[in-house]
Amino acid sequence: MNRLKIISFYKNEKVLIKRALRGNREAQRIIYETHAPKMLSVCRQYISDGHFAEDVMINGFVKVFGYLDTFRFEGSFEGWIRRIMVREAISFLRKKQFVVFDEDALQGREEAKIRIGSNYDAEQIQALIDELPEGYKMVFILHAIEGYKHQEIAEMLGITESTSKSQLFKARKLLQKKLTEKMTIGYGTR
Amino acid sequence: MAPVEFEKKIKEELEERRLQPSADSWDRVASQLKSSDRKRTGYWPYAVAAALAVLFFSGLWMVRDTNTGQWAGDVVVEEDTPSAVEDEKRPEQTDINSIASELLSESGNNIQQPEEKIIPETQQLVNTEIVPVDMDPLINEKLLEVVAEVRILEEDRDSLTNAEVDLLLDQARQELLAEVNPRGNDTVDHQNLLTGVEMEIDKTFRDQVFEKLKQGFVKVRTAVASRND
Repeated sequence: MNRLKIISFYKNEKVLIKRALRGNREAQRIIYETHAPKMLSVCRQYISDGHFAEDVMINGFVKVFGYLDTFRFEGSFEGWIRRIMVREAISFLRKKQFVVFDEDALQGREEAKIRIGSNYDAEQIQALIDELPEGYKMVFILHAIEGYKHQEIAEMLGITESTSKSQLFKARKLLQKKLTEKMTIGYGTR
Repeated sequence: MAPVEFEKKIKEELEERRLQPSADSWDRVASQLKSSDRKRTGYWPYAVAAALAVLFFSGLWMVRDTNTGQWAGDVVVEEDTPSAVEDEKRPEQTDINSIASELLSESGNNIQQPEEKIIPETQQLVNTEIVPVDMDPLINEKLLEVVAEVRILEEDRDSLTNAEVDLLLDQARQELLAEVNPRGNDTVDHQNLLTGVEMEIDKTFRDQVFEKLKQGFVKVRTAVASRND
């Protein structure tokens, strides 16, 4: 029964994509409404400002529909959209020159005023990630969440593999430090 | 918490997160899609117009009568000089032998009077500045030059080979063609190109100029030889 449902959904998605490809606005709207909440979450991981994140997501969807003819139905459609969103977010941050891959990026960052415990939720995690310098944040999300390899990250961001590894190491260290501090503050054990 | 465990937790939490976009977000996407659709379709009218124009001119080219070298839908217009393209197709208007004889007796060139010429309507549309050239007077004039040159050479030497005569005639032909197309090949303009194409279409045109020169030369020589006898 479940298998039938999956096949049915796949067929529906395929039909929807083909209709959207022909410029059917209703099919495009259904695709948008199906994927927009998750894609906005993806964009928000990279971009601290919610409005900017939404702008990036909207531009991403315009590209999704613009390049729909390049989707070959060989992999997950959601994964394909997600990759477009990730690249759009990176492009946005680079255009705005938010990305700095150096030590100075650590200076002047405001710490999130949150209490974090062992059962931290997505918003608390996001607040922690938002505290990271953009360079650290991008490498961390691309590697730890999106699952890209250092070589791929290096190509996407125009940096060397060793810089990517170094940024990830520093991001992890900083996140651990912040998490420890928050948990300590949260439980008041100090 | 170990880094790997921590990252796993982060990934799980963020993967499950859904953020609702603002109410007008789809309208923004749709409006951008509309403008990009407009951009995409913006080239079509121009492409269609260009294709139609190409088809139109190709059609005109195809209906052109290749035997007569004229376009379908000819109109009669007044012209001061006849068309070079039509030259070979017109009935022989002048006996080259008599002209040559007259010229030899220093009676001057036989200049043709202006006459009604058929000029294709479409050719006029494409280029109204084409000045047709009648080749006959030019050929005769050039023929005289060749005959005079041959006579000079014959006076200097005992005999002249056919190959040398042919060479002189070929030079005369090249000079004639250069006179018909005086702008040469160093500049590219529509008139030159059109004239060039017209000449290329009538493949035998150049050969016929040469033949005319040669026939005329033989006739003149025969006439001169007969007179001297």
